[in-house]
Amino acid sequence: MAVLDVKNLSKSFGGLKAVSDVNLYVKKGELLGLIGPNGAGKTTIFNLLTGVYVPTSGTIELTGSRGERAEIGGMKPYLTARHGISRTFQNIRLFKNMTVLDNILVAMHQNARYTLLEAIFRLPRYYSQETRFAETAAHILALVGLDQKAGELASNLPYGEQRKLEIARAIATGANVIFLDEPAAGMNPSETDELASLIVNLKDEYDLTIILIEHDMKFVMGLCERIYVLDFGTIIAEGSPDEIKHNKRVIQAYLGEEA
Amino acid sequence: MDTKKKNSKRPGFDTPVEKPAKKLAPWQSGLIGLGIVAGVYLILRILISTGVIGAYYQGILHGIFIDIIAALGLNLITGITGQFSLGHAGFMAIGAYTSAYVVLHTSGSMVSILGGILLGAVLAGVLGLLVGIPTLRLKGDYLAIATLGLGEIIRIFIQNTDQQVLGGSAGLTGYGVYAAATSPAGFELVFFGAVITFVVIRNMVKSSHGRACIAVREDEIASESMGVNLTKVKISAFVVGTFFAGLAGGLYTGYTGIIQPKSFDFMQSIEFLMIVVLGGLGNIWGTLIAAAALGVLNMFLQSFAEIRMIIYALLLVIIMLIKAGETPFFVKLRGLFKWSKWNLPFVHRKTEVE
Ligand SMILES: Nc1ncnc2c1ncn2[C@@H]1O[C@H](COP(=O)(O)OP(=O)(O)O)[C@@H](O)[C@H]1O
Ligand SMILES: [Mg+2]
Repeated sequence: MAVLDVKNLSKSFGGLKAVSDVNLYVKKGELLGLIGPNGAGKTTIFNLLTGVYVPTSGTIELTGSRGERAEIGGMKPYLTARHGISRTFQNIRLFKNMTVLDNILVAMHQNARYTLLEAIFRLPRYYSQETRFAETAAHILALVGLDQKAGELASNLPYGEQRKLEIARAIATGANVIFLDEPAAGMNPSETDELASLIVNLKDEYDLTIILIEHDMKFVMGLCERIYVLDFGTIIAEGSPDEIKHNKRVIQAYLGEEA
Repeated sequence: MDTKKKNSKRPGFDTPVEKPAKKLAPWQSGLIGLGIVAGVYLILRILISTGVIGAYYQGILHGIFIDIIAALGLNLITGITGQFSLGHAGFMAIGAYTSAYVVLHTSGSMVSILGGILLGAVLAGVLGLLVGIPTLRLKGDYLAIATLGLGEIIRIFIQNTDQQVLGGSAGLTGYGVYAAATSPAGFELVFFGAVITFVVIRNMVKSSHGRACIAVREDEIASESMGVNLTKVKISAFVVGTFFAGLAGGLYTGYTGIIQPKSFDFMQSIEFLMIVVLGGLGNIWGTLIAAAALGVLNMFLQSFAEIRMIIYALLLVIIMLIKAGETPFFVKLRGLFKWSKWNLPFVHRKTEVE
């Protein structure tokens, strides 16, 4: 079953067609890879699917956990988040001057059931929700190994941990579809391995559908079940890691870039 | 790479998570807070009643409490939510004129005074809602210019109304003083006004709604992608902040005994901004200290109004240069000069990374 069904998706910036006529689908529970040379339009696709950009044309259909369908193309990001979509960013976008714990708690805000007035008057619902939030947040932080750093400022974390915190934050929204934009960027091989098993574990634990962009081919090929290859804004190949490795157009696109 | 292989023990996945250490229970910290407020109130009340704090210094004190109320509101908007507002004094004017009008046209009893102050705060908040919807879409400098314009529009509007209604540029008077040093419950009005403001803003900040405000300040795109409704968060911060500007206005009315449009000009907005920035953006304890410090400074500089503005301007420039952020200005300075290692309890021990 497809959670996401993308049809004829295009995005232009002025004269530049960053994404043109892209068709793709994402199956529920899938670990999908999106690869392609720099500037191919990968991040732009993520931005379209999460509501940061409004598509120039095309549709993005999301099927929710109870089978309900919604067109999310052009929907504001906070609304796509309410539909269970979350993400990380290529250039880490943590709330730098907030603690690690508060970064997680912000992501849980959309599930807060107490009103501003209940918070101001400190009514019972405030306390019961905050207690539950704290427990859930502690659990998520432990999963990514940041429970000991809950009180530190996000900006004080080393780079690799910032990437993990971003993933944890995305999960804390309660999303079931998660987009990871170059999660292994800037990590050394052992950190990358650790990240790969973390992603698999998190996917199992939370029953996630994950779509990730990554340049580290070993990482992508080892982790993803299916891969789309993007070049100049169009999809040039789709298939299993093995199929992609031996695809002529893919090899050309990558060699062409290196030349 | 075989990532499917399960490690024998995955922390959190296979081993239980330790519960977070319990902090003070809500009723405990509530009692402590109540104790502090009661203590400060009793001390000040006794000092005033016994005449140790005379009418002159009591006047200064009341002014400081009124500034605290307005500046805490602005801190919520600018320091905590990151929305630059230069029109705060305009909202204060709404509260001031509303309360004066109500008191002038009713019995002038305590009920009508309190009712007028509350109505003024509500109207300021409602105006905050109405103007917040279009203006909070603007970012940074544009928002600053829009709010600056708005504050001036309010002032000039009042200035040009019928002399009989709001007093025009001559101002309104004759409603009596109710928050001044000379009025019996004046101290209680401003003191508990400031306490209520502080508790409301603090409770808001330490809640999911407050965290959303800070997140919006930190990164709009990230917070929106994490499900934070930007418009709603900005507007609610603006409404609460302008509500307290209105509250400060109502108290100011009873404090001076005469209100004039020129008391609510752009420079007044800048003064509130100074307090917020000096105390540390988003730091509500810092706002208390900075309001007190500036109140005392103003007392010494009362007869040199021009010098005061020069000092303010210089302070602003220095603040911009050292980028104090949430760290209160004086703490930052202390760090710069490596003065003695005071350990001020209200100081956030956070390091600033740019
Ligand atoms: N907001 C934007 N405005 C203008 N051009 C953009 C914007 N975002 C992306 N682009 C352009 O779209 C193209 C694809 O960018 P991007 O999606 O970031 O590539 P990738 O993530 O595959 O490296 C690039 O040429 C980039 O310059
Ligand atoms: Mg990219």
